[in-house]
Amino acid sequence: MAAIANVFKIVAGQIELVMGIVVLIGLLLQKKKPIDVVMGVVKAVVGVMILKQGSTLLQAAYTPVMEMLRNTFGITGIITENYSGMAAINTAIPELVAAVPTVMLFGFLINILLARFGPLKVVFLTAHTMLAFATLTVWLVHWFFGVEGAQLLVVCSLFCGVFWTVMPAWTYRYSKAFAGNGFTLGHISGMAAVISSRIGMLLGHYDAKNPRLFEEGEEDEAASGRFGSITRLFNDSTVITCLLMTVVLGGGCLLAGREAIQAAAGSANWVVFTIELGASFTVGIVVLLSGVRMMIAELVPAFKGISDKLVPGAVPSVDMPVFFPLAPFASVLGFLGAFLGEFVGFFILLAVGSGTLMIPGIIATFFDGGIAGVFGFKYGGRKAAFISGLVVGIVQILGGVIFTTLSGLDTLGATYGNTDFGTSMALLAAVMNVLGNVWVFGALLAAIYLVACLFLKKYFKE
Amino acid sequence: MLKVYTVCINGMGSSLILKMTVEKAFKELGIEADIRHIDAGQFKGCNPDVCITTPTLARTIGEREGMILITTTNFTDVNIVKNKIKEALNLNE
Repeated sequence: MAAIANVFKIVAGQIELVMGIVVLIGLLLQKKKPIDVVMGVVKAVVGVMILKQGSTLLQAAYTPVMEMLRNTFGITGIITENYSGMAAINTAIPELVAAVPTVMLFGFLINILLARFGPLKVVFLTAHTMLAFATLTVWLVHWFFGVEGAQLLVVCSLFCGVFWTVMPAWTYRYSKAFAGNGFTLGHISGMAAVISSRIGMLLGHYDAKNPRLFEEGEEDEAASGRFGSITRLFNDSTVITCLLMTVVLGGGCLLAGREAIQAAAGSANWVVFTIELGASFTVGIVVLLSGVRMMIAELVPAFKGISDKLVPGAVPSVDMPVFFPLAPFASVLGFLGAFLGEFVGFFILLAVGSGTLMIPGIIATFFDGGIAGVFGFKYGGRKAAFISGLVVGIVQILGGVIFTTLSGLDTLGATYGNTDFGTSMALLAAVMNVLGNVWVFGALLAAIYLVACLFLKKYFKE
Repeated sequence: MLKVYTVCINGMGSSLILKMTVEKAFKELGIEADIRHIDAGQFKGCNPDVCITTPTLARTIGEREGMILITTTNFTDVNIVKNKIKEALNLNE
């Protein structure tokens, strides 16, 4: 018995093995052929191991810059990018993070149960976001309440289940009018959609009795053509991440000065070192994402199969780019606004002499800006698209700094980037900070769900 | 067998969702197809028979000889996607 318990303990402490088991269960439930089961499990295990390697590469790229900033100016620099945040958590608490696949599975099952029996009929299917968010809940619940083991597992699963039901339902309230009832947004950027819709309604003088929605016309298409090369650039995430992170990380280096760079670069040439940091960061992202991609390609069909069987007719909540074709030019406008907003936020932090500096991680800016553009545009037109993006960018930085400092992620050098962290999650972190008891937090989550049902259930009635 | 790729920016979320919809569409049409999903950057190195993506990405990818390019703004509705495929492959009875 002791030997079995020991084996169980070892397996439960390795995230890739736990993920393999979760995928195994998913594939068996779908009654897949034995060969497909073997292939799926191998890909899930290898995928997570690739992800771990990517995490190491990613951290190696940004850590020297953060150290330079700390040593030269006494500033804590923090990269606002989900996978950097996830990588940092993976490194900081590896034993606890092994619970993440189980949290994902149970969180998803809670989401399914709530959709099956409750009024909010949404199912969260963006698995890479689920992975990032589940990892974060493990960090947050452990950080604020110091719990481990079964308690951690239960509360994190509840956290995920409630979040994955409430946020898409809230977004659905706004997306239904222009995207129909076939899908809604399932991401940690739901607040970007909510805020932008409200801004759009304000600027577009939205009248609930006589609703008017904006459509892109020939004029927008022509304008879109003028932005053609920018759009092309942004359609290749490797290129855009590399170019912008070279500016961001290289800029950080240059601020610290040549001596500091040379010390970090060791025997390498300091100019080459500075220029290549962005590329190294991108290598980390590309490797990490290829691992995530390999793993979730096995998970998502399993999740979709379970949800189709148990909650037929539920609204699938999917990734952000699904919305971009609904207003392509507005999504570019939103991004440009968000990009500007990030830097406005950054300089506000500099101006007020903040000891913690949020370093724009660009990826969340791009996607959330696109979402802000689409939702802002639909309710308020072009101007609203840009302004929504601008607001989302500023909120990501200024709200993000509150979230990061409260949640202790500032001790890790990286945080999550999406809009929810600068808004709803910042608020939640502030509450968690004073709660002190993990079960009170569990009750709070249940209360959040019930309040959401009260306000949002009417949007799910045909 | 028909080789099909669904393409999105990151090759992770949207293209995977679209892939599952396309899978169902091909099944309903009774056409055997090998369907994969990928990001726009890596798609440059792929030579499928059919590519299904958004209008914006289609402009980046461009028309290619011997490849049928299908664009859709809906990723989840099997009927919409099925009709687009039927039209592109000239399957209308």
